[in-house]
Amino acid sequence: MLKSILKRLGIVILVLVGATALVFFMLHYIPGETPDVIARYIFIGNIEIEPSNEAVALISQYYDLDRPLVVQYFSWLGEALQGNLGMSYKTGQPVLDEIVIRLPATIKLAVVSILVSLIIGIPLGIVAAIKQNSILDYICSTGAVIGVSIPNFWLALLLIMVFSLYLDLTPVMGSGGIEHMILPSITLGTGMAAVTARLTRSSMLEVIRQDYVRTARGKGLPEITVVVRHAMKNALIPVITIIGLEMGHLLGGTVIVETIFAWPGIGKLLIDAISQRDIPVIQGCVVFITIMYVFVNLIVDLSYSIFDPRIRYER
Amino acid sequence: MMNMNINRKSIGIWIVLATIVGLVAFSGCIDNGENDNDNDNIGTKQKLVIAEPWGISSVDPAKAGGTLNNFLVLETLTFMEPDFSLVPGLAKSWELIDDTTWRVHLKDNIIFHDDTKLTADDVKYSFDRNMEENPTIRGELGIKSVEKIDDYTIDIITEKPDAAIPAALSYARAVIYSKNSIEKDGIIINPIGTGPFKFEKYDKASDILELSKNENYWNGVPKLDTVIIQGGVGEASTREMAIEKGEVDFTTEPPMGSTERLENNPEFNVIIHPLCQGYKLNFGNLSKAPFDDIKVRKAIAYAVDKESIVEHILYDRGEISNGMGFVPGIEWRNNDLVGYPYDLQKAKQLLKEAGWEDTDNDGILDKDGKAFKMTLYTWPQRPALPPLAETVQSQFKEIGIDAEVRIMDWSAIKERLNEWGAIRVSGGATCMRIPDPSYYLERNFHSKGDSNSYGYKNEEVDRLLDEGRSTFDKQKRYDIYREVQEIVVDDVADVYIAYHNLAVVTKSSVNGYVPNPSAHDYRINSGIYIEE
Amino acid sequence: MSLLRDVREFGKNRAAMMGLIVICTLIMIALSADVISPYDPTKIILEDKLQAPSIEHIMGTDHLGRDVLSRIIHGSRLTFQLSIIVVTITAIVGITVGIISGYYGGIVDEILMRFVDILLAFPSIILALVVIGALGPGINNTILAISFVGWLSYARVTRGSTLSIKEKEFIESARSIGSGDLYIIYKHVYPNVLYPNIVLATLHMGSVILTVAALGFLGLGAQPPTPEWGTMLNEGKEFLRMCPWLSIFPGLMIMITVLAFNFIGDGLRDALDPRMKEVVIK
Repeated sequence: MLKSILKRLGIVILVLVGATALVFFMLHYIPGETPDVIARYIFIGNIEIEPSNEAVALISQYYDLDRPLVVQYFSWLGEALQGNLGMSYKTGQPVLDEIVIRLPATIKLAVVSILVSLIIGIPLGIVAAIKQNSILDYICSTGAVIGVSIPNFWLALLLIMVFSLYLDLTPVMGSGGIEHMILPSITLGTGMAAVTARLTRSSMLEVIRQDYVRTARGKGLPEITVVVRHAMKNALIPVITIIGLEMGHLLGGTVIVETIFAWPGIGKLLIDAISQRDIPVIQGCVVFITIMYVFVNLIVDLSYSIFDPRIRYER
Repeated sequence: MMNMNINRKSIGIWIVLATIVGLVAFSGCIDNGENDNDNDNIGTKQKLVIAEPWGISSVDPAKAGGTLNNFLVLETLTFMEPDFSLVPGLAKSWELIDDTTWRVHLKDNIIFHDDTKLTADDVKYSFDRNMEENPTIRGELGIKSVEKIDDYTIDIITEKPDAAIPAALSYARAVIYSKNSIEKDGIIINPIGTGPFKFEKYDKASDILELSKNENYWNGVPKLDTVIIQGGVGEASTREMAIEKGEVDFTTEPPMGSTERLENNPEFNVIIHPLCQGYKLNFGNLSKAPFDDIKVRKAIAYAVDKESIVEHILYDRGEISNGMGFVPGIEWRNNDLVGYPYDLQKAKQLLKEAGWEDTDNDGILDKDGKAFKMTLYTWPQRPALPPLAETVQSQFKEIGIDAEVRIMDWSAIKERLNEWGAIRVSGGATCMRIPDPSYYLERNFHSKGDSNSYGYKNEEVDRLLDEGRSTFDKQKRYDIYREVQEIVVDDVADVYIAYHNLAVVTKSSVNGYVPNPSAHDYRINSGIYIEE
Repeated sequence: MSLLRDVREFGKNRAAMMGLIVICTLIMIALSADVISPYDPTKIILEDKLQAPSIEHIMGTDHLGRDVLSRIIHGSRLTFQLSIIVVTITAIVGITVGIISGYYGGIVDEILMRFVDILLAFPSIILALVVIGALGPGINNTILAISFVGWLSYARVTRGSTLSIKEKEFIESARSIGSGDLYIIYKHVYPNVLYPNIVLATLHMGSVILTVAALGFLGLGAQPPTPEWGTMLNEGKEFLRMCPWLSIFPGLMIMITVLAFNFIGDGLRDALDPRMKEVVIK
């Protein structure tokens, strides 16, 4: 177990170095842009005014931007390994601070979305499995495919249209309150709910055929007890792994959903940083998102090996 | 055996559930503070919530001075009135002592938000800090140094004789703040100013700025108790929905096409007023083909159908330009100019004269084997820009120019303007950030101007601009700047299409808003109040 | 024989057949776009702007007076072109890498798969965003950005299938009669890895269409006036309040197309089962 964790950590570091190097060199594709961008943010703000040449020169000197890119990258890496991700070009604040103040919003949204997906997905999957091959099952399965096929940005627009504009139930602006969370988490949760439902259905089908469920039924226990007490408990285990499998989907989705709903998380921070060419922030976000992704997968794998004795024994 | 298994499994499930609950709780704890805005203000009625298009991101005056000035936290030595005239602000008078020294006398009854008195020390501190932290401000102001003479007198020393200084002192970024403003790591996090509203707090994650009434304001106490600004509401449609649903009381620039509908709704006040700003085409590089040829530039200027752009893209929220950025009503404007009215025949003729002809009959002009293909760069934050660029693109097709549109962030565009045939379709371009024509004309048309990255160089213009800046006789300056405008429009240094009228939308209960065209976009005023 | 069975199996799947019909129809529409679209999709007629759906303009007009239906029709052509290009590029690269990795094994395999692991550890849309951020928006860069990570799943799946085929007897016998590696790969390995990759490619079509549209929606994909569905949504969202049809139709088209591909992909997988255990949806 320890060995596999260490191996994973090794890969994580490799991923981080590789990914940040990739990002760094790609973003410097257009030479000479960086000092201009920084000068604009530091000295001008958001408005459309060009910084003076003097200001640009000063920035270039201050950030030592005339050094070769390779040297710049390794100096960034050296700092990053000591926990210093550099300063945001845009705000002049440490990137770490920028990310840390936005992290809770993203985690909150992700967790609530996962809950939404479980709340929608699991019952649908169970019903579909119990009533296998019925109309209900057919509707659930089709619904699940629709769920993964619907573009989340479009779903977001539709939800805004219906719930904010026509029904006037949810706010269109701001963040923090539960009411602000409803639409983003439904948007994100729907796609995942579809996958959850599919998985729940198939694993439920497998469990229902098991001996102990048959035994329970044979004992004459009511169907509801059989389903809830015996079948469901075991069928849900693979569903837990869905959280891991879906994490990439989720992190990708938060980027778009946070942008649409102006949710102040790291997804929006990343999109803004990309369009505003705030390279240190992009780097920081990439590092954080990778770590989150790998970390969640690790937890899920570990929990899976706790749940499922077969995997434990194989190790 | 089976029992054992199930126990293990349920333990696992509990671990995962506990983790989830923990995460929720954790994230809940961290931004607890976000939500208690509403609780704080129970019982206060005069509260204005604003949806602001731009992000705030900093409250350090050396960086965000313009924003804090717009929201009346920080003030300047001189003020620009809505009619572009210059009036005393924190200074009561100023005089020229010698060619390079302006003496400014401060008002002695100004009290900062922390109840200390404003003195020459604060003014010197503010200028020194602004200019040191931000060389762009130094460049914009043209100030060499600020010297304290006594507690209420300062001298402003300039490099060269500079007639624009009193106007420059009203610049939104030349703000004055107390030397007691609270810093953290060299960045001011709690600016202390003199304006009608006090800085309360700024939450960076949600980009919300909160201000409160300054009971001791020197120029009449404001009526609003609280102003809450939600920054970064970049989508015009979000701002529109937010005001319609009553989530905010005040916002600006709804989608162009919605203005009329909002105007017809009695629940809202829609105030449309001119700004000194508009839309234009910036040639990427004037020293390279194809734009080094004035005939090509003229052809492009003639090919833009400005009338239909004003009607359909700006939804009549604007006015055709005379080729120059100054809106009607500005005393410095050269009203004799006519610009380049839409004329396809002239455009085609000029291109032909310049040697551009469609020799291979593909509908695109070519010259020496090179097809006339260009790129129109623009940015999305101003909602009229992308459709404007698309319209211009289709109008260029009429004269045989094949253009494509690229929409990207403002800062990403600049380095791409050196490409062959690159044009920037620009918005904003505020012409009167200070009540003096030198600001706009020098930035854009002096060969050393900060915004002149496209290489416009006309020695006569340079000479006139230098002369205008150092001439103290106002009548002479009128003549000089009118001539500059004429030459620049004759040279087709850029193609100014139309002026933009700003729309401010408020709930009908919000009264007392006075449009101020001097602002970059809009500017609140202390007379705003909520009608019960 | 088995192919016939597979086809029959697939034919029994109603959803998959429906998907197939939808896709065929869409392809026909895309091919005949010039003929059937009632108006020029990029022709700006400002006087006609923002008209609600009517008989003249079945899906209304957009903010520049362009016919939405014509744009949707031409958009389908663009969508198919883009996604076919991306899927072809990524499939070729992925299958090649997978075969090399699986067939030769050893250090090559180790390095290639480590690289795949690294890239897979990343939410793909985020890498695509960064690539676009660096190169700038546009159709070509969209193709590049999506292809950049798209080949990974093909490589994974192909490698797995190759590994299991490599152990088969007929490979051994082919080798013993002196067949070269290239011949064996072409004759024996390639046909056998094809099935799972076809399923993968079908599902991949759907996800490529979604990503292209997402980038367009964020303003980073195809640039206006190109009639790309995501870009149309991006332009239309400003008019969500006044002209909902600008947001409804392009989104609906994206959903229908992706849905159809997913139905076909699911159908194929079920039909080709049990050979298909290894194909993961994502």
